Amino acid sequence: MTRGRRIGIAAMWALAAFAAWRMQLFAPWRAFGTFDTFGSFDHPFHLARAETLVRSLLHGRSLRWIANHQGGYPAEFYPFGWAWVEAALWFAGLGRVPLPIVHRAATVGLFLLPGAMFAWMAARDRWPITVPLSAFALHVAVPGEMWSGGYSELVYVGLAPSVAAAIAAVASMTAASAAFASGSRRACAVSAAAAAAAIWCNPRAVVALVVCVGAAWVVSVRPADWRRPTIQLLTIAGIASLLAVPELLSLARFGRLYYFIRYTGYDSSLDYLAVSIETVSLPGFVLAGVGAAAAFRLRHERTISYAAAAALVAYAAATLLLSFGMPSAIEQLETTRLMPVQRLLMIYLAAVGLHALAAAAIARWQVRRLGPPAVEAVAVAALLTIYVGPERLMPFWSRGLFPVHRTGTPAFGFLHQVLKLADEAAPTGTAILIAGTPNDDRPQLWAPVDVDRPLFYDDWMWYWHTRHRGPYDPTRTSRYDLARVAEIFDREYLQRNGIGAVVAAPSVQLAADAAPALKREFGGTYGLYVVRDPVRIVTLGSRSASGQTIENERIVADGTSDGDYALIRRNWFPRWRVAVNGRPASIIETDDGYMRVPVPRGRVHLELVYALEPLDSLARLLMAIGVVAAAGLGSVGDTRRDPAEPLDGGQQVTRREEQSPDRRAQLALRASSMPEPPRT
Amino acid sequence: MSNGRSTGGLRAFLIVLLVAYVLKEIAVALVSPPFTGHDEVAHFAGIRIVAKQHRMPTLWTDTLPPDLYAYRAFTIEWRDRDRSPLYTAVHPPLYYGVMAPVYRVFSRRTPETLQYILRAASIPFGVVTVLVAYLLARTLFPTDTFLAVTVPAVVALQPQVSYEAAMVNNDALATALYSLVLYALVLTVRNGGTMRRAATLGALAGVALLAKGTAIAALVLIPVALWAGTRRLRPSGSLVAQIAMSYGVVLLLVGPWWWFMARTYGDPLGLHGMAATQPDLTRTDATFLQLLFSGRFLVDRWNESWGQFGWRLIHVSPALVALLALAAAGCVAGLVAATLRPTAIAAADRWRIAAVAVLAAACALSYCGMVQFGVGFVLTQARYVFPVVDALALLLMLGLRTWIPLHRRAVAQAAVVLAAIAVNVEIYAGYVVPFWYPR
Repeated sequence: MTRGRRIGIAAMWALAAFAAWRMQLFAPWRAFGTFDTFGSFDHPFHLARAETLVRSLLHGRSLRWIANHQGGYPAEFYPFGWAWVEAALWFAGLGRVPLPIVHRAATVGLFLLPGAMFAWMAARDRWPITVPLSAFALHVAVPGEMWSGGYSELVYVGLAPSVAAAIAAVASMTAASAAFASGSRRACAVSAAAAAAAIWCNPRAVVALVVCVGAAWVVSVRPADWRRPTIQLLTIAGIASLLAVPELLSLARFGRLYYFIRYTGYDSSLDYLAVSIETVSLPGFVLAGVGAAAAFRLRHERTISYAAAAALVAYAAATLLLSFGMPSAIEQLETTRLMPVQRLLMIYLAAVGLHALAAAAIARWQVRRLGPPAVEAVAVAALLTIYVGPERLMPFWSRGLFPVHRTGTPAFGFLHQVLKLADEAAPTGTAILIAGTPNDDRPQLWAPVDVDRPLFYDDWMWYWHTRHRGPYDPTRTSRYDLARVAEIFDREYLQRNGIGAVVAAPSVQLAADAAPALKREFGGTYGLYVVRDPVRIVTLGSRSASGQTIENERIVADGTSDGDYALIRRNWFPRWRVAVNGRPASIIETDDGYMRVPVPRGRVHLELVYALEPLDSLARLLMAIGVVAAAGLGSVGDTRRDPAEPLDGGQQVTRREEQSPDRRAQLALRASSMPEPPRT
Repeated sequence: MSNGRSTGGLRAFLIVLLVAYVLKEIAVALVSPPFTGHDEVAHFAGIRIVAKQHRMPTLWTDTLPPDLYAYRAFTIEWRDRDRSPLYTAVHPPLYYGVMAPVYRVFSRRTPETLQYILRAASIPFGVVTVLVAYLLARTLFPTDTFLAVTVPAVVALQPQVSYEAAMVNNDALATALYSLVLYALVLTVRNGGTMRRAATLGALAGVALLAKGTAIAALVLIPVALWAGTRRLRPSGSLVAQIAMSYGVVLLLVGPWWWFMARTYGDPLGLHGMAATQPDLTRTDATFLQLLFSGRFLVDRWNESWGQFGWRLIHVSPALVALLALAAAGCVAGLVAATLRPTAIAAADRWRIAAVAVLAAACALSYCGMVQFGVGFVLTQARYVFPVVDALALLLMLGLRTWIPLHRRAVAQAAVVLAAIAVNVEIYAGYVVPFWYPR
């Protein structure tokens, strides 16, 4: 390893450490009596999902139905890929590290992961270390917009699954490109595993995978040698599909039940252009264009860069097509959410572009005492100074690593305490409603971490059907209209959803105070109200079931019936099966999306199970086959040459080529970026 | 570099282009309903005050004209009919002084008729800008027909720049004068700096500054051009003396106006006055670098450069504007490629590199000026970059030329002209005319 490379790697580590410090990775675990982690926007929701998964795993069950969120939802509609990562980290820490702290570390790690990926991509292309360093600095410095995959989306908005899927998709493309170029089976296995991870984190990544891996295949396939890359492409697609088949099969079977609200969209192609630039900054965008051009020019030597450039062009075209040409082609797709992958590709190519420009400029003006790395180092330093330096250079929302809301606040501390009291106050078999927040975030969605029971919210962030009743328009939003908040304190609403206690923020406490169905226990940052004469989640005719157990994939109720219907205030889904007094019965979906079951007069023992159907079992079997196939492919030694070695084995440069001015510049770029001779 | 066209042929092309330009401008002036151009009501009121009261308006003493209140939709924040400040009162006096005699001659006409006449009176400024574009191309690349054809054609057919030249607005005059400054800078780089040229530069810059404050970037460019000129040829005086001469002339011409502005508003450009009278349009949440690196800022300005006619009411197809951006990006890429291409340059040709660099610097400074204005004011606009349209057109066509083989340039220049005409036809036939005259 050369000295320059060592310095570059050290610089990347230093930058990573700095970013981690700015994101308060090393801050104390607790503040104001609560675990201190990222608390803005969607963080509480994802932390709660990880907590729910860990609990389920501790009970020996894989999580397939999530009971605690607004009547429940099937796991495949918001897959738990990223939550599995956090759960795995929690288990790796033997449960000693609290999950909120695991979430903090995982989020920071995910933010820094592109640095490692850029280093991997650049190493395969034999770019000098300054290329991944520049790319990593751009990633750290430019926060992007709220759905762009950078700091803003991951750390501010908390959309870890989306960002993780984007990173996995680009990793899959990189490995696929390496496989196509070198024939490496191991790279095939890595590509397939990364593709499956992307799908498990966010099924929307299928679009990115098809476009990016497809582009990598298109640019690598030759008329004389199309068979091998094509077989590899099919292998990657096949194994990835097997690994993700439980998710894909479920979506194929039940996707029609999933209603997706499109919150965002591009107004026009100009809007898309503006966001594309904003995502990486204007200099980054320009450099990405230069990098793409350089990659096309050096296509035989830098296969990863070439694949990235081709993927970027194809991906931008696909985004435009899906946004404006075929906006209804994929119903559950906000095309704005495709940007994270584009951002990663642009950032990498921007670094390539910076290097290409520096190399060309130095060759053009024959600055012998200055190498491209020096120019790149200056660019990186300037970038970090501008974006991470004084606020008078870059304002709050546009700067990298800006501070975000944390959970280590008095308000969060109050919420935890009040939730625990609400859990004690609400009768067994009832849900808790949490209404209002003291700020713009959704701290209430952290409630499943504190209480293990069904919960309802006035703003539940994400949902999957339109039948839930309340003062809102389910086709446009997943939150109640706070101007009509009194309606959710009505007896009718509380009984319809089996709510036993209400936790209310100050903004809704006046309405709660005025509600006859509620009795105020106390007020404050979060007030607690108990429901007078609450109705439980399962009722047998007009009577509440006396004994009730509400678990994720199982609901049990006992009681006496007058011979009517049992109403189960949990969301209907085709997988639910019911047995009444041990005999199978039919489930009827109610108008508000819940379940109704006919019950006989007298004693009733009702048991609903979220069934593992034969197709689900088959999917699991296929996934196991996929795991074996991927492991087998990955462990088989590569018979071909080193994946990092270009297929042409390094081009021979003739004297005539050397004399061409264009070729001289190209050679300068090659020479400047090849500190080590090609391995043989 | 010549592809065989004679100078006579080029002149004929230029004459045809200018005739077509004037006809187009007359059509644009007539097609656009009264006072629908950028700030036309306010500029018209400024001319009226100069013509009738023989004084410059101020933000503190003058208001938007109540008799034109019907056109309030085409003004900024005209809420109170009688008390809204005349927000263009911070502009320098030259345009109003030039237009005041025209106003006086036709003062008995209705305001609507008068504004059509004033629009027509602005057209010569546009003609000057197109002519200077041609002169710039011919001066820098005398044997290059591709540039001699495409540069003036792009300037003449740039929809928004030519639109401004058919409106009651000081932009066209400012653009014409600043184009002359740029031309003088290029001549200075080519011929070397002398005291006389320095004085000429100062005079042109001073006059341009009296048309619009956006010309202030010339004060940065003058020393650079003089330095580049004196490096090449033996100067008739020291560089410092030349710069002092230029600045002295500028100060002589603009000094009284700046003194008036500083006394009235507290600063020579009247920014404090603008901030005080347009509080809803000022901001403190942006920084220079943020806007400079912002994609949204750039795209908004680009959109304004091609669309948003009639007080930003008429929006042309974003796809068309995006396509134009793609074409411009291709041209810029060509320019970068040409810059980085390792070719040997003869000593006699090096002045061209310096002159092109001065033009590129003019463009960069102009963009930075617009960005800087945007830091304090929400309504920064692409119009503030229009004074460098000749330089921009030359640079873009220079970039485009990089990609075109020599034997294809004749076809390419025809394609550029036809494409520019097609863009105009599409914008006016598809958007502007149907907007004002719906069927």
